[in-house]
Amino acid sequence: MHMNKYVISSALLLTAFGATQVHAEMNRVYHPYVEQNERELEYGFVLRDLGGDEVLLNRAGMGYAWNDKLFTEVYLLTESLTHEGEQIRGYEAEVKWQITEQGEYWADWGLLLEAGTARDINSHEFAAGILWEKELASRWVATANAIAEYEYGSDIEDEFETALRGQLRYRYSIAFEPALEFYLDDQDWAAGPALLGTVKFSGRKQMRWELGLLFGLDADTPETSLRGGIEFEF
Amino acid sequence: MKPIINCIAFMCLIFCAIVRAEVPTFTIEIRDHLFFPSQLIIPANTKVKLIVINRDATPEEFESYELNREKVIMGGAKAIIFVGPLVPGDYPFFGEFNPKTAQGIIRVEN
Repeated sequence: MHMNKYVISSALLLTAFGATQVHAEMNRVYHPYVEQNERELEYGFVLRDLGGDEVLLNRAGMGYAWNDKLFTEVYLLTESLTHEGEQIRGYEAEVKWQITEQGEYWADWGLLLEAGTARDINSHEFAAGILWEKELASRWVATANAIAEYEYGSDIEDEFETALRGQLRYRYSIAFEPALEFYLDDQDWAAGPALLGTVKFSGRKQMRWELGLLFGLDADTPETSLRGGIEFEF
Repeated sequence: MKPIINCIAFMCLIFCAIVRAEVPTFTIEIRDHLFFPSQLIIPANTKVKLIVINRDATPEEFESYELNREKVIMGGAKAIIFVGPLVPGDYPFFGEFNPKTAQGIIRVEN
């Protein structure tokens, strides 16, 4: 694990100097649900190492649910703060498959498949993840993602990585849901509070937002990072 | 990759089959952007299966924050929605595409 983190830290250092690598980020916890015909525009960010050597990782996405089981999304990944202006890091595409009907079984299950490639270096990745969610008593909802990822390319060391993300959310109101999250992967070990909410517009238009503060749990993870996202659904 | 996905899906299905149990079933119809019945009484502390049939030509979305459910039902189609187990009380739901008319309540009673 330590060796793995060292290799990835080195890759991150390369990133800061202009090379680019697509890698797992503390960007969100996925829910295993798909809403038929939903279209989505999304912006998300992770501001790593708040108050230190800040790196702003951005993602812009566009998604569509083809039916009540399959949702696809493509992303443009960029990086700010460490370069003059903005730099494109790479591109990603993902497929989310809702395996079970919500509430039918003891827990709800989904599958996430991702493919990504970097722009300036030869680096590619494939990832597959199990999405799990369980509605607990008294408005609490637990969500977890277990992700396996393979990275390869002539500019990086080929390697297999794993990640585990979790969220415990309290459904206080549609506009405001506090949560606790953790992100454990070969690069970061972090946990912290998050706030989530939905703003309803007319028809099926709505905006979901998320904001989370993450504290590093080990010496290799930035002490503090901020993550956020806005999804406009229509 | 495909054998792994198949294996995962198979394990999930096996797990689901083990924990699955028969649940009481109720039917709700959508006609002219209204829910019929608009009030449904279901037993407390019991998982319930709702069959929502959309008789309209246009899609509708069954939505309820209180029930933690959102489900689109295409025109002329039906959808299955599982709710509960719930404690006694009233749980409103509405049709997101026609929220002024398509409204209803699930009343949970002992």
